[in-house]
Amino acid sequence: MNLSTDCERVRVTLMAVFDGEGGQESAADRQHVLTCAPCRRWLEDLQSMTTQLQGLPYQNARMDLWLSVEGRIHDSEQRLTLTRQLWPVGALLLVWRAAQLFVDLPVPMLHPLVPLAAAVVAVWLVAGDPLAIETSAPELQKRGI
Amino acid sequence: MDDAAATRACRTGNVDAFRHFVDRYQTRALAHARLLTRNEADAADATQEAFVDAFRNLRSFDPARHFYAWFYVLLRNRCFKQRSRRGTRWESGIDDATPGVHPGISEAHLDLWRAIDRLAPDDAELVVLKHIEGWTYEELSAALAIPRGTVMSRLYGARQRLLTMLAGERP
Repeated sequence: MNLSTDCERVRVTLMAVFDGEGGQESAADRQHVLTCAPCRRWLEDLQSMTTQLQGLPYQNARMDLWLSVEGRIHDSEQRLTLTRQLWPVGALLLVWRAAQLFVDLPVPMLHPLVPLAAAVVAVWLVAGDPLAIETSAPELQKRGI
Repeated sequence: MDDAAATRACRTGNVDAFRHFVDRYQTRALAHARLLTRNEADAADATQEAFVDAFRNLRSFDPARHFYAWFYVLLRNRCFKQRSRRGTRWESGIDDATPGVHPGISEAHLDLWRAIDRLAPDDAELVVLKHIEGWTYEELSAALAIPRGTVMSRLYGARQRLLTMLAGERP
């Protein structure tokens, strides 16, 4: 703490005592307050400000966040589930690639497009058809249609 | 339902039980986020994301602690991310529809919120957490990830600036 004056040092000590965090002020600090009008005034102002702020209310939220939070939780759960489901697919593709490199597989299975096609099919199955048109009522309602 | 019961329910995967936390803490979370982001839309977004983070990380929450003190760290991180993502888009000073204030608030309270809003976000954060939330120096030190001595010096500076502002508004 870089305090330049004796008043500031005393005020920080008094502030901690006032907040119930600093134990007891020293006799010298008490003497300082008795003889220093600005510090006495500062302490009174601090007490007054604290009293005012303790009763300061927050505004009731003008929006209810629950629906939005709930939607985001579900979205994040879905993403998490998708990630978990895609891990095995990724692992399988790695195994496939390793097999291509190190094991003598039959020629048709070595084609580089085979793992790519497998990945596309896996993602399609897990994530659903990206070209599908939503026609179910709840989905349309959710989108405000 | 109290926080501990809601925590237990959420940990079993009950998303609806998390509503307890949103209903209970959204008001103060929005007010705090607004002080940190100084932007209504960013504050709402950061608060929602922080609640999602809280739900996902609820297993690491110790129910012996106060939920909001734990949640505040997540909220603060989200607010900082929001600020760095969008840049600082300061909204002009507080008006009668200031977030963080009751619609039917007294003029005296409104003056206090105006003064707090004019403080730098770091100062405003300390003042609100100390004076309105009643956090101890230890709690402030843990939430803001700064030593206790730094809490004291920053709190002193923030109070000093707020006192100066309030003194300037006196007739």
